[in-house]
Amino acid sequence: MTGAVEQAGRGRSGFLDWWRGAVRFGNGVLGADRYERYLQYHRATGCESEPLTEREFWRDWQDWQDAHPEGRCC
Amino acid sequence: MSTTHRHPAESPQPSQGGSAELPPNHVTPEVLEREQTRWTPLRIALWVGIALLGGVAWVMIAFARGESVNAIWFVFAAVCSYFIAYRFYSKFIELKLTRPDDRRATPAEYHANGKDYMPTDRRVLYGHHFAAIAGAGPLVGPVLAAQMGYLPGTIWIIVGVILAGAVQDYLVLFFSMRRGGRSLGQMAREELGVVGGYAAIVATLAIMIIIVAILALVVVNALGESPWGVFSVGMTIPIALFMGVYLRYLRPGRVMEVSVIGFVLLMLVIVAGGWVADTELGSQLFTLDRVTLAWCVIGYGFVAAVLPVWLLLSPRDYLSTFMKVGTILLLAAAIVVVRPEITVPAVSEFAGRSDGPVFTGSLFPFLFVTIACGALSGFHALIASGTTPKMIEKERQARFIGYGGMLMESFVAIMALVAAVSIDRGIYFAMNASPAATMGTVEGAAAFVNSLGLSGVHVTPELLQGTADAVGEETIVSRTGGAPTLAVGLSHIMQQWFGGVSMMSFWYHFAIMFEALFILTAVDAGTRVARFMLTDTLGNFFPRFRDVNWRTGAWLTTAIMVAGWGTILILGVTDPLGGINTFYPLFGIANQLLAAIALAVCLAIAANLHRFKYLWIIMLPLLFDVLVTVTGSWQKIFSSDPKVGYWANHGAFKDALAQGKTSFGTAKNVEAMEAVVRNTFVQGTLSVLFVVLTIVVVVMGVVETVKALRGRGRGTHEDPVVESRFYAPSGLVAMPSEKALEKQWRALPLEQRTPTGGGHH
Repeated sequence: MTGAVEQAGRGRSGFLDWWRGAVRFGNGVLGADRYERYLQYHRATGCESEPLTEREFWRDWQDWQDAHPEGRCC
Repeated sequence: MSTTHRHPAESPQPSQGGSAELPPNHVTPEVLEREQTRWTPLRIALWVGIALLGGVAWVMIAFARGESVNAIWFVFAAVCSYFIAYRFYSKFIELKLTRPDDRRATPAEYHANGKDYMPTDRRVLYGHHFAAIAGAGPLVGPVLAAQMGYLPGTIWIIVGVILAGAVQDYLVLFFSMRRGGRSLGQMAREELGVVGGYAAIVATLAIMIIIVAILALVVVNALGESPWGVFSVGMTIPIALFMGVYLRYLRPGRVMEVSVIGFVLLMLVIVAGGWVADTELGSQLFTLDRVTLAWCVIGYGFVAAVLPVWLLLSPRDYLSTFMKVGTILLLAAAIVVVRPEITVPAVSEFAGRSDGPVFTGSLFPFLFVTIACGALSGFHALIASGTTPKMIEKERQARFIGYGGMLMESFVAIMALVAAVSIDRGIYFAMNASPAATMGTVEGAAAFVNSLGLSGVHVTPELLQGTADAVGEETIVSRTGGAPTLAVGLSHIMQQWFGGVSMMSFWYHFAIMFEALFILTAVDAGTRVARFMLTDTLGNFFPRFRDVNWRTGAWLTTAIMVAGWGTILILGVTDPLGGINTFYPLFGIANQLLAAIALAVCLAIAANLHRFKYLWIIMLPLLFDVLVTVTGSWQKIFSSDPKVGYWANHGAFKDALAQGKTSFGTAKNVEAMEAVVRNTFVQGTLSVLFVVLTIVVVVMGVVETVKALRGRGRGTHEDPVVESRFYAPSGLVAMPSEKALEKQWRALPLEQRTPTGGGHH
């Protein structure tokens, strides 16, 4: 994302980079990039077993959320 | 199936001794300090510029006594003050009190599990944290506080956040991060002992109930007798259900996609609400009185809290987050582009009195409890402990996220204040006076407001009706709770930018929509969190409650929580004295008392760290907060003025009933009088409960501090030090040395720079 900011001045591709950075930021804040990050985590653990598929992961995550509520403030 | 992996043996992480293979895990503090704080001519010019601009802006809003003041000065005063506070005060706290150490791994690193413990980019986490702490609170409090003029509120929001609110958020975040992301309740038990710990947990539960109740009351007041609002806000439920099914079955993981779809649908139902409200059937179907609506919200709260989260709660949360970030940016841009002129007095007639129609009580302490969120909000301690600390990459980032995140919320409060004071003062008071005062009619409201004797204020029934027509509502009289006033203010500003007067009704309902969305998200999430806290506590006595799959237990505890806030909501909706006017101070007091608890815990922790010389950083906001809330509670409990004291009012109405009177004050019949007796009893009892619990916790905090001073402290409960094998820069903008080190880390294969939590312990 820093890269995106640095190149903002370079016309069209600069704008594209900026836009990609913004989308990545939005995905991060919403938590849409969870699966991507899980894959990265899974790879880093060096675990031999296959990672969960996207569908399995989200189902697992949603069920986990059920038991771990997160507060929202006023 | 679990996604958690703990295979230290197979982990490709280098062994402890092999850290030479990795780049350093921190920038040498001296190098970083030099880069951050060295005074170059450019920097000196920049900070002198910021200070000058801020100073001029403060003079403009505080001393300039022209016809009007431009709203842009509020923005400059706030933003310049925030920059200076962040650069100097939060840096000072970091250097002297928290002393972060980037060589230490954070819980996100050593507990990494691919779920809640997950190192998250600092800028993303900033947005995430902000979306979790900010909601309708900072939008509502400043609107009500505008009764006393804009200046007292502006000063408290800006000075309060710098010295109190942001300090609390930062310290709780930091101390929780050092403790593996433990919650405030757990920290209280460790630091303050069993009595203090339990008092803190009971206080937190009670306070959550009152906060959810008052937020729900705000929504009910905003939607009552408003078919347009009821339709569009009601439609968010099917939209959320659709999003939930979409994410579960159709296209799992497409969160951004479904949020955009949800947002488009949301805009559609806002527009459609206008058409529906115009039809005979629609207006009949969706014009609901407040009591019916209150029952709907209660039913919704229960169902939302027991349904699986994927179906309703989490899609609604996506929508709410999406709207939160979007509308805040929109609001800021609109104020900068439109730059409305503010014509209301800096300090109004009510600043020196205690009988204001919006909320009663004198400026001190009630202004400081009316504006809680945005200046100092104890509720944040629940987010800053538990949720966010599990995601921080490096200790040094806590300042940006904790302190900086709260500054952003304060800015939201300033914008809400600007929106509220940009509308005509007559309209403001007509909207925020209780129905008992205005009779709920435009004539009654005009007569009441004109009788207040405010300088330059003269409203006519035509003006009030005209405003209601422009925003597409039947009436704007006595639409208390702050949300409708903000919506009128926002539509007034936005229409000057987009669409003109014909768009006012859209912007009004757009504002009502996002406020309702934020509040309903806080209501369902709050109910759920409170339910889990209750099962946890009950689990100590009845182990069965610990079983999360025990449906009866889940339903029972949810029902207890909903009954708690639902009762207060119904009392508020049926209150003959106006509801919000009498209940809102309880909300503020509760929130500030939670802040006192959080600060007391921080004080004990800092004392046990032997940072005695800098304890004043915590004692300053703690003392002020205790002074405000205890005085406020004291007046609410003991004041002999029935307008202020709950028990005085309780006694007055009881006596009147005993004397056989059939009407008293604003209560027009015996039933209403009995309602006042009942409500004041509940309010008075809650005030006593809150203040007693909090005093217990604060006293325990002070006792622990004194013990530590005498060298008999409990020591620290921090998690053991784990050497970090990870690096990320600290602030929004990375320093050159940070950038260079980050580059080295980026060159490593992903496996080596992704914390696994595995090989560390």
